[in-house]
Amino acid sequence: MGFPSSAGTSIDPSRTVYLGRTLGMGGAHTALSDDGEGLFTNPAGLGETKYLQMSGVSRRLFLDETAYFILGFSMPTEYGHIGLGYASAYTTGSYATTRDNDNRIIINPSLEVMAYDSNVILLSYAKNFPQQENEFLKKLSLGCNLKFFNQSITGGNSGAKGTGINLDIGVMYNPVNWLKSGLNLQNMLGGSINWNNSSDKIGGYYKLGFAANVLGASTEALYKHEQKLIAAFDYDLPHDSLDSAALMHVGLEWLPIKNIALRCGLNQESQSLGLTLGLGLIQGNFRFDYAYAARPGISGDNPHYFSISYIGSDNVKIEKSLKKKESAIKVIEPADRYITSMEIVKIITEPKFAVISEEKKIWESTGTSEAAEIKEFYDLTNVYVDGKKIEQTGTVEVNSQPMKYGRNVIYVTGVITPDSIAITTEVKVLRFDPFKDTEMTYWAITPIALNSEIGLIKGYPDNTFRPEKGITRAELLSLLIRTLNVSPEALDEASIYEKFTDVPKDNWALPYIKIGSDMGLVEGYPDGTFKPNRVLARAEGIAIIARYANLPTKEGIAFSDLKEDFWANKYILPAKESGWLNYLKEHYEKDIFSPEEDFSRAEASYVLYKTAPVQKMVDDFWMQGATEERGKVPEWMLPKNEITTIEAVPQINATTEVKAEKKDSD
Amino acid sequence: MIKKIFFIFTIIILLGFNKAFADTIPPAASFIPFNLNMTTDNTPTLTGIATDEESIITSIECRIDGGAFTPATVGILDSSTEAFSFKSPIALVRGIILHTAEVKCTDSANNVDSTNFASYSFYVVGDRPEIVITSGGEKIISGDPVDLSPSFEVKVISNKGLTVYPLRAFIDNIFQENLTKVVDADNLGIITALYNPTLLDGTHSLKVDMTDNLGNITTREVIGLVVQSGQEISLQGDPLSFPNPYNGVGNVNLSYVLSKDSNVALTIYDLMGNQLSKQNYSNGQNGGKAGYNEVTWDGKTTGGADLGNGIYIYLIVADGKVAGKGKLTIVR
Repeated sequence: MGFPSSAGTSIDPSRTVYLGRTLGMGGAHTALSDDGEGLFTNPAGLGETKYLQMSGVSRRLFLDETAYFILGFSMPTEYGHIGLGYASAYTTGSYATTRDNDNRIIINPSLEVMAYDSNVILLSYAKNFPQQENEFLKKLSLGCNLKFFNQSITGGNSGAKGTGINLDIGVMYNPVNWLKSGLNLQNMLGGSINWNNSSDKIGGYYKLGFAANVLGASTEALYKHEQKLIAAFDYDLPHDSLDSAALMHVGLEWLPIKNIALRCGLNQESQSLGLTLGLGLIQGNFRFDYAYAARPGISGDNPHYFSISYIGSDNVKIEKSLKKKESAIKVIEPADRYITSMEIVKIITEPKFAVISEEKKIWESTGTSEAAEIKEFYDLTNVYVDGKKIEQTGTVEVNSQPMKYGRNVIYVTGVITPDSIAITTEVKVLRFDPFKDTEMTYWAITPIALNSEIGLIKGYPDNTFRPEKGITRAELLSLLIRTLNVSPEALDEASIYEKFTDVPKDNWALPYIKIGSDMGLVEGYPDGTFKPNRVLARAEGIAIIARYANLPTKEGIAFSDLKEDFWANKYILPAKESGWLNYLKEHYEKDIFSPEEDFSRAEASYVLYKTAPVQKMVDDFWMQGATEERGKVPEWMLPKNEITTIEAVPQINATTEVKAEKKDSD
Repeated sequence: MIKKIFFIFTIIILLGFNKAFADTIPPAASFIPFNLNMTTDNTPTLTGIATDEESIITSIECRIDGGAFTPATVGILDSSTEAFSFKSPIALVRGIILHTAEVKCTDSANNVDSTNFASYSFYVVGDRPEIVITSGGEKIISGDPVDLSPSFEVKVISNKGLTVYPLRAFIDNIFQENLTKVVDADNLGIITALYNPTLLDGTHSLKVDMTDNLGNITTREVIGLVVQSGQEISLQGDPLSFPNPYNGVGNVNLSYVLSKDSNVALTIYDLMGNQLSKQNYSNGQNGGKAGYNEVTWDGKTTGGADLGNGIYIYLIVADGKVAGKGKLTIVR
């Protein structure tokens, strides 16, 4: 088949889409394409649809001269999304002519009137990759349309037929969750419509688009809002086209409620720029779209466009089942295990409970489903904070009841409705009577207070603690032995044996020194003395406590001022690694150890507090109170309701009652 | 011997001169005109003479009205001056239509003028005067719309000779005196009259009659001339194009009949309503004048692209309103 050297450029009836949603948004649809119209605007967009889509319209275009029909259909499958589209444009009324005797052009009545039919069938495929680990691929969709063109001219002095094939390639990428970008390269193969005696190019546009979910209910919107607002922009660059100008399209779609969409846009065509308006009504599985798109310069053209789409979005069944209800009471102040010297503390709390449900969406059209756990918070009723009934909801701020010295427990209770289940949260507060020389802001107040509460350390008779005073060998040993809960009989037995020459029977520390030296915590001097009143150096103190706590030794240099052969290195390094020596940096702000400095009473309290045995004692204290306080909770502190606890209930639907077991309060 | 040598030498010189001054000029030709450049024979025989300054005429061909060149009737072609005759192979239309005969000659040096042919224009007339009425260069026919103040031009030809006095014009059967009558300076058989009446809205008739020098009378009348000065612009009939279908080569002519003078934009679109080309015509000029308008289009978009096969729609927008639309088919 031979073709002449010059070829024209043909029209593609699928290139410009006269469907209601696209037109109403000024023609900006490349980065949306999430419905049946997407088949024509960007096939990659179909990859993000979850269910069957269809859109179509039949109307007359351009002063009623062209019969236009367009229909697109797509559906998801396990291999990707497939689609089928058809677009056609038809006109008649072109008369063959001749000249009369006056040389004027007249209709030639011997020849038939000519008609022209141009149609294209599209086979579409799209795929996205949500399961990919690669972050880029997760956000990518690809698509293509294989297009089969068929054109014919009938009438006149002879007919003509032309056919051709071409390909659209589409890409969608979501760089962030609220922004989409799309690229549609139309008619990329450079194919032609091949006629009997000629060949016409099939041109198109390179379409680049962006769409932003400005408002929306899901995390895929820039701002979370009940209403939905989408802004879109398209830029079209012609190639092999009869149009030579680049075109721009801008559009907005606003859903004030989920069934109504209001749209507007600016639609640039080759020689005009027009305002478009649109309305979409969503009912069930269908969407009815209207667009007003007048063409400036063509007065009398019908600017009203209607189309209908099957969107399937409402055909979703949602199943919600209750998993459990649990306490979500948050006590903001005071923190649990708070230490204060004040009689009354401010309590800030949010008495709420959480309802944990599983929500399952099932799309009936495809049978696919997705489940998500939902946690919703509700206010408790019948709330008591530290024994006071609270009427307000939301965040509650009250003063506590007067607290005694020692461990106090503040309870926040409330009732879950309508189940009538009471739940409780408690915070523990230690009211501590500080020593005269130890402020509550002292750096070691926490270990001092707690060691004091559990009976490990005592102050002097004048109610001082003398925290900076160096601790003696006898004092430290007695402190350590006391933690071991040695029985009074064992102490008595140790009191009758004078092991060291300078620790006589009447020395208060004799039993502790005897037991401690027998345990190997500390040795006497070669001359038989113990020197009980000698103040320990820091290195000695750390070594004794490390031995007491059975801290595994470890060779190495922990600080720059320690020599490699220093005898206590094996105790100091593990002590540092266990966090016992953090106070050196935090309080004394030094990076050296200073092994010969006096080991103060405050330091001894701190390091002892850090050891595992003492930590257990402290934990027992918080959980159960001081040994002498356990079980003694003042009556006024008890909540007015009986306390019950909630157990996890098996998965049930929302109409099933939640069962709970009542438990007596302590 | 010396004479022989001299003779040979002269021949050589002459041959050399011949070569240096070879004939490069094609032959010239001219037609013998008809009386008043008119003939009553619609298959006239044209005669003429072809001459060449240096060479022998070897062929003479003629054509009429742009047809194909065909050999003229000649004697033995053995000289640089030859007479020829040529009978029109087709019957020519009578009336005030200028026909053109052209001649192409070749000499023995193969010189032939390929573009600038000698030509002769003439009319084919009947026994009576021929009258044509035009406005704005276009012939007026019955039913045409005309402007409020149309410029009528009446042309009369006769091979019997004419004088201006017998030429009379009537508007609505009322004799008009204000005609400007002019005899063609080169041809006593042609008279042109110009007339600019002012008409009222409505339908009018224009009648012209003329008597030639031998007393033969011809009357030409056009009726139903519509004046619509106060009404909206409209088209009479449908716009048409020629040739239709159009093969995309050369120009295509687009025609439409306007009800009155107006500024016209002629815009061409594809089926989807995408604008491809636009041309503007001024009020009163061809394309924007009341009556029959015929304009040309090169078949390309504004950007110079060729259109593919199919049907395209063109709109006639007059004074901002779509007055009419037509369709043309391209089949390459």
